[in-house]
Amino acid sequence: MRSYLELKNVNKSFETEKEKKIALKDINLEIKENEFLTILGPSGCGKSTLLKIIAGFSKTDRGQLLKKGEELAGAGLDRIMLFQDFEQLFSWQKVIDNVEFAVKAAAKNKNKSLSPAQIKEKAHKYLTEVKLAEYQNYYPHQLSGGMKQRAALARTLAAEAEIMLMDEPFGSVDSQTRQELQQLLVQLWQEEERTIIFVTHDIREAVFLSQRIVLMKNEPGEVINIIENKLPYPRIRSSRDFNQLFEKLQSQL
Amino acid sequence: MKSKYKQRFFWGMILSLIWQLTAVSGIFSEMIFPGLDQILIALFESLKDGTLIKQIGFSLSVIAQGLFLATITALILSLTAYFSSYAAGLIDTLTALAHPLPGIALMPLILIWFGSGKTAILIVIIHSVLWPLVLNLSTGFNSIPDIYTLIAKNYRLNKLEFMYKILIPASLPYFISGLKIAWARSWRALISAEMLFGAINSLGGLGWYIFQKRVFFDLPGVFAGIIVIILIGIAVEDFIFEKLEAKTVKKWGMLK
Repeated sequence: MRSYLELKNVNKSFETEKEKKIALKDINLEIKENEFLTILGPSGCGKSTLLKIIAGFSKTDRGQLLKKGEELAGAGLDRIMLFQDFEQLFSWQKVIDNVEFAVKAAAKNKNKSLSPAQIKEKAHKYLTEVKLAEYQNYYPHQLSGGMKQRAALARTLAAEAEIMLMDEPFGSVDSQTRQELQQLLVQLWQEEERTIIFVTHDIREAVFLSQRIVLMKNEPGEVINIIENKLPYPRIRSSRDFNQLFEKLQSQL
Repeated sequence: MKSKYKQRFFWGMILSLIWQLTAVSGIFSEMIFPGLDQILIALFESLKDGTLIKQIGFSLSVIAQGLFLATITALILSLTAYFSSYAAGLIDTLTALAHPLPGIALMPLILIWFGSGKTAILIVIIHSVLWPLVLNLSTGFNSIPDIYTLIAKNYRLNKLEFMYKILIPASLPYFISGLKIAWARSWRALISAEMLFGAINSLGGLGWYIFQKRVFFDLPGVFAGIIVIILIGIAVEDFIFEKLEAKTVKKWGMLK
């Protein structure tokens, strides 16, 4: 696979009253097309900051962000973020309307005009993919945490971005639901051709989901290792290989 | 909810009974303390001959116009303040100056500048409503979660789309509570302005109606006017705003 998304010498620091904190130091990373990549590290290691830079929400102090060799400036519909916060859904809109929001934005961005029926059909398709079609007419506050994240995932998919960025999206749901969502995400990634960059502090999550794992440490935020995860999908959490990789990662963090 | 109305009805009855007993006992002269029977007769008579209906219509139409104009202006001001930090400073200064100033204090000036009549009343209403609305709307706009501005960036919404798709609905609880304050303040301002500014062609609203009744020492008429003012106040607060909340912010889980 050729290099698709590239981070070159990315540096970012935040200044507080007393000191200057280096959030990211000389980050170099190449991401391949349709790859499932996780960024794993303890809290404060700058992994979310890194994701925000890739999303174009914040700027680098130094360094470049390239897609197919061209520098990216600002946010765009080619890189859609899925957040952890349940508030990301619009509480004043039904689930289906939340998804339609992304369908419309994507269509507008590509200068395509879709009829209301086509928009509804697309939104419905993505809700079916996340197994939430029955709840399309619910308002977000009527859903459980896991269902809210499914709805948000449907909206993110509906934007039809090449790259999906995920900032600990399953961090606020119970472990049972989290495992279901992880399984769903792997399945969706295998069906649709998308690149996923997934930030987490949960080692098992990284092992379960991704093809490569970027390990980061804090103060300053740096990449310490990049590990290939060649375990075949679907991965089995209780397998020996799974646990070996888990232990290997744990020892390095 | 139901028990609130039951309680109000119960205590309303008790208070009416005390009123009536006091009136019948003859402690006060009938001239200054009319019985409920007289008040109700006065109420029905002026409802029947249409005078009270016309005044209610006048008051409600003026207040509706005032609230409409003030809401539009407040939306424009607070949106401008949200998108431009220069304008925000100016609008904040204006609000800080004008908000604490009671509308009544402006009346002598308004009389000289605009004369009496509907325009003058409208200006008093707009003044009393605009600033609390601007304050509430600005607070609402500034307290939407940061995540929404990131989403707007991510999905490439332009300012207009961000405004009507996210900013306004997300701050609707603040908007509605601002409207409630606006209603209460404008209703008070309206009645006092009507008393001061008087009538054109016998139409001067409920405030003018009460004021006129006092001139003729028609106390049952004064009380009839007061009852109507109270009932309209309750009706708007309990029914219109409650309905509006039930259909929006409560349905969406933004307000418990």
